[in-house]
Amino acid sequence: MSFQQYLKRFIFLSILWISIIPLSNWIIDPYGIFETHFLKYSFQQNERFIKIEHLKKEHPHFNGYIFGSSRIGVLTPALLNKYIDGASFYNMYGSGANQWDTLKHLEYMLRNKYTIKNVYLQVDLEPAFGPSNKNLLKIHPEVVNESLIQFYLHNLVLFPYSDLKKTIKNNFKANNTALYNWTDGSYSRPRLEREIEENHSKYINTVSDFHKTSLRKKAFSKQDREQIDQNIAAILKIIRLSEDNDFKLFLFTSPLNQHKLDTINIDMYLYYLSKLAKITNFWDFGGYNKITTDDKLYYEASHYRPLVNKMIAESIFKGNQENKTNGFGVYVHSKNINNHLSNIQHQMHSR
Amino acid sequence: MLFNSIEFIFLFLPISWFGFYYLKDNLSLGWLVLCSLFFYAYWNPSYLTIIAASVFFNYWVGSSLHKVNFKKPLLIFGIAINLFFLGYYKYSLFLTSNINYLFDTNFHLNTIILPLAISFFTFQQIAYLVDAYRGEAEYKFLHYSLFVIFFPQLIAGPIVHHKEIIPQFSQKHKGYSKHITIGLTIFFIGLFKKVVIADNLSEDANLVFLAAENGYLVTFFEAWQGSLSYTLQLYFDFSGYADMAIGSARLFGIKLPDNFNSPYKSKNIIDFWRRWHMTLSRFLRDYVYIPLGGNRKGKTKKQLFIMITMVIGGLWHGANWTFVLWGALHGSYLVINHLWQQIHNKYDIKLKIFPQWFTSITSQTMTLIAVIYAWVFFRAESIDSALNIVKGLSGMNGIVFPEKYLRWENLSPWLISNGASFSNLELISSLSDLISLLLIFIFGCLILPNTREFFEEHRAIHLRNTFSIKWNYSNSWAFVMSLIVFISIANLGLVKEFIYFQF
Repeated sequence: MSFQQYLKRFIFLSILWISIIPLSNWIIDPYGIFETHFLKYSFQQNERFIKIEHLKKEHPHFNGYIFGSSRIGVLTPALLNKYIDGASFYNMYGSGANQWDTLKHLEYMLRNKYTIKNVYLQVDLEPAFGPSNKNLLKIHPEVVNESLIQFYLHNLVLFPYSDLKKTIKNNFKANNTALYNWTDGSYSRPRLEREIEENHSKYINTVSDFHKTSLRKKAFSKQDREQIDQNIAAILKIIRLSEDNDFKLFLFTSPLNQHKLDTINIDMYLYYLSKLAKITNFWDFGGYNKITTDDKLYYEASHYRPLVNKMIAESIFKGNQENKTNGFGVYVHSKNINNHLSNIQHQMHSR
Repeated sequence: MLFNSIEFIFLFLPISWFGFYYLKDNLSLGWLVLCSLFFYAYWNPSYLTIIAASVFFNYWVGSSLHKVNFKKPLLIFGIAINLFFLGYYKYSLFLTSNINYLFDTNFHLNTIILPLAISFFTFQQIAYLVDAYRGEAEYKFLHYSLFVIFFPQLIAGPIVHHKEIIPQFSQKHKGYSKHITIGLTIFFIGLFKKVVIADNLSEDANLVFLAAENGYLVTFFEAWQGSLSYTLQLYFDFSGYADMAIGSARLFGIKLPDNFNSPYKSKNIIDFWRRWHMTLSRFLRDYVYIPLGGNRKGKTKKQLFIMITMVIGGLWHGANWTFVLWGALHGSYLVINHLWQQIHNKYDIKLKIFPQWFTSITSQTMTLIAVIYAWVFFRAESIDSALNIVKGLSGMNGIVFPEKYLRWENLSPWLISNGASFSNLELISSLSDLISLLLIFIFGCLILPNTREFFEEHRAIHLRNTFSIKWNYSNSWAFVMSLIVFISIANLGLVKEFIYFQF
């Protein structure tokens, strides 16, 4: 065989192998980018991309947006609409979203003349900031002024083996725990809801998060501090946007489950709270209270159930007395921040 | 533009090759210059002026050195300007912070973005100036500029010498099928090393080094997992880059020098530096160590020159005390190694009581451990975090087994009675990853032939007479290589930068 013959065979075989990549991306469509729907179930989809594509056509129907991570994804906008006259919310949550995501999406919406009267913003008191490099969590390219064609090409040629495998496996098992509703932006977990409602003790016993020994993060790193500062700077920009564009901003912190809270560095948590209090008043649903220590209100340590959303809204919009008694929801402002911080510090040290 | 990106592999490389192939003589070289400038500008167009100015300036100095009478002052001027710019971009912040620390001053410099590859193209051009001064370098501008900015070697080497590259530009390259076949094969082996092996090792290394930086006391197994991961990551990342550089240059008929020769097989530190980043070692020897005096000024001074050369080598990698310490550590290793050889030769010491295989494995292991300890300083963000990991490696932060091994009912009481403990560790949950790393190490770094051996004139590589691996242009190799291409391309999802880009 000559070099030339070898080269021809090598190139032919390589092209043959490589063509598997775009074909499998197109057919399996693990992030829902191509909307081919060859398979019945998806594993998890690129929420950020799909929602922006949906809103490009449908945004005139909405005048309010819910922002936050997947924790607030189970909030049905219809619930929130009841508390504000004329409100029509869309849930813009994104898995793993931080305040970089919120700011970029708000800037994009204002740039494209979306009507915004209300923003319901959940802040996770965790340091991550900036875009994710995971394919599943990539922001819509037009939000950050990048090319849509390049985005499609990228999603054709990358080979997300584990996500492809999960999507196929999911279809064989028909094991879909999350159902997406792109028309209002929320998602639901009907199977888990059913399991919890049927027997919550049994459910709690099956979730390892509720039983494993939690280790509190020992160090509050320089990197964490910088990322919190970046989140705070982004929130400040969001506040300025709300003032300049005349929309109402409802800002509150996530009610993290006790087991999640047990892993967080105390200094980091208090630093975030104190920094936030310096720039705005907000509702704090964190700390150890009757809700966050009740595991049956959570799917696992990271995500709470929809009824917690109702309690949050009741506190913010109605000043619910029962929640106050349970220590759930403190309206934090410059005058009570020191007191609030020492309460939280005491709670965390007492664990 | 990164070698491991879709745009480089499927757009830039084919387009630049077709242009080169269909154009003739100087036009094809001019085309390569343009492509290389585009390749560099793709990262940050504003720094194009720096590399262009550097090429023009050095060519002017180099060609003037043949004509003027004041050769030495001109050479010193040329080298000083190169070092000034390298110093400004690479070391001014470091210098300012040290002055502020020492003299309690408050000088402030804004962040300076280091132009990509400045350390590499500065070194190459200093070598050219020195040789031009000696009357050994006289070239056409087109050839010279292509030598400096030829894209395969521009960003992270190999640090090429003008004498081994520029003459190749004038040669008529025949047998393109051979060049392309070998070039593509080497390129994709490099890509495989980078995206399949190195990138997958980075997570473990990053986790441990970040934890150390955050003040977490890294225990014995955690430290070894992090350090071994980094040792492997760095080798596969950098040698993968070198293979991709050598492979892509070969597509244009240009043979770049080798940069690695199985460094972790070294039996001592002197041997290590003949196998690791070989073109840097060559530069440091020829343009730092020998001009300092080399071994011509007595044994004591020789050791001093070795130390100075290695500290400069450390500083070349980055403006941080960790790099200085890394260089000094290797300098000390080399001094000890040279002294040992002197004693060995003087007293004719022969360790005959031990069998050959035993001394061989012992010296190889000792060298490797010394190298791993030094890599900790190379990778760590600060001296404190490096010391934290070094203590961990030495067992000074405790020898703690993951809690699940308490099930070793016969062994665990004995381990506890001998000072070990069991706990729910933050960085590792079992020892299986550490064992996998050792297997990757043994197989990937010790047993398999390196790229140089694999391709050397397509000879069979016989390994310890047990099996041989022979690359040739057969159907079965076409199939195997196409699989390697597929696996590598399939792993391009998350493009990660090469470690040596920061230098």
